[in-house]
Amino acid sequence: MQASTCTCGKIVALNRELCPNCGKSMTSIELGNDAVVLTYTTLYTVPEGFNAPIFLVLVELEQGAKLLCECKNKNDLEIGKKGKIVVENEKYYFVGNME
Amino acid sequence: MAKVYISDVGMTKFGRREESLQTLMYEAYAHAATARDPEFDAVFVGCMNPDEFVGDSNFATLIVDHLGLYQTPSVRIDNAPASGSAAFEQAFFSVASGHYEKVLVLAGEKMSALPTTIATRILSKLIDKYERSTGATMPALAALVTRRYMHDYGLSREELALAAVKNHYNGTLNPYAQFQKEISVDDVLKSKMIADPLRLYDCASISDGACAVILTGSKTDVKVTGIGHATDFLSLQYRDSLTSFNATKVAAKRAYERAHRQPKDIDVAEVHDAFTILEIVNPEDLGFFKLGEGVAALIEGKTGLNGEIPINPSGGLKARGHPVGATGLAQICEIVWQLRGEAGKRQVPANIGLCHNIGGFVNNNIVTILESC
Repeated sequence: MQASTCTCGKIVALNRELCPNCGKSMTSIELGNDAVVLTYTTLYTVPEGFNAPIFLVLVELEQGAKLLCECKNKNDLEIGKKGKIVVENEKYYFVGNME
Repeated sequence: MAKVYISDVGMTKFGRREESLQTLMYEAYAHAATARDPEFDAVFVGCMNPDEFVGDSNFATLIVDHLGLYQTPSVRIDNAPASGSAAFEQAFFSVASGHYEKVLVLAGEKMSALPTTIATRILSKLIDKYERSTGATMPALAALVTRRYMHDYGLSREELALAAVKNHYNGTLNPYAQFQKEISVDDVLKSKMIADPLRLYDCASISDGACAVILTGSKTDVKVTGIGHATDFLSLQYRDSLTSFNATKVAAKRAYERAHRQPKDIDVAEVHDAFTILEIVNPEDLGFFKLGEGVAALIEGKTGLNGEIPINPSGGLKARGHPVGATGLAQICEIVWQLRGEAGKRQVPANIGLCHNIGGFVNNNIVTILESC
């Protein structure tokens, strides 16, 4: 899982050139794929070009970085649910761990 | 810095309107400027996206041309759904600097001409490009915040509905409101699911409308005493808190400092309730209640018309309607009417009022304090 860190302490998911907090150059790092659900929604009214419903989760990654991504299984929609981020067709998905 | 006062305000009824955006702006202007000398040093036009919503650009020129204000300087200000308050802020600076003496602020949007799916797509462009690539919409981000707030503070679905019920009640007392009909908790809970747990009645509507405010360096009975403005990260995933918004807290702090006021001094407030959760979170971030206590304040009626700090006596975005570019200026109009005792059946006792307008998903916020004088 790609992320970017800054000497100011900010860490964000994915690659980013300048720190959104202080404007300095960020350093690209690799995080593990572990993730925990912070919050979620099932979206029924979707923008043009998307199919409803969309299961959206905001997860916390290692070191406190956060990522908004889709989730395929409605049963994974639970605050505190632990799982992994997988990549399919260049899109990120959250998959909950088996109980 | 010169002192800045408000002389006149006006607005159209909000809702689905047949007229063009310029016709709506003329209606608001005529409401504010009737029998006045129509000479202005400049015109500031707040409008988020006329290019896509109505197919016109160069909108500042279009408006002065339409109003017959030949040769008057004019500029359009787009600051997402905080365009109305941003235009007001820039107009304030122009008078405070002494550069201009009397200026007209117009703000409006016409959103209903397009199908809702296209309007939703236009509004989704307010969201960070990666985040919107997931399909995220404004209601989706609000739903993520709502779910986390319910988890952290024990807010129930029924309690959340009370925010919409309260603002729809206030809307019945406001002749400019899009919705002037009471609703029940049951109505909210039975409305169409948009982004779980948010339903249709948790979300502000697609709407059309316009507002006008005249600012002057000559003394009137309403003074602009403080404006605070702050931004936050564009992405929700960059933010530390999901249940409290820094752009509101910092903008409010700046406005309070400039006005030499504290939250307890405010008699009435118009806050940006684009979603019901914001009717609870905004008063907390503005310092009226501690974090997590906005729910109890709503349930106990502290934010109702007879409460200790009436919030959204106009009906807010929820009932008045939310033509995005117009909203910030509609809040100013409402507070001026409240301070002047001209708010009719929704009048509350007030000498000091506050407006809180959000741009983007709570990341470009403006807080304005107005006082009787």
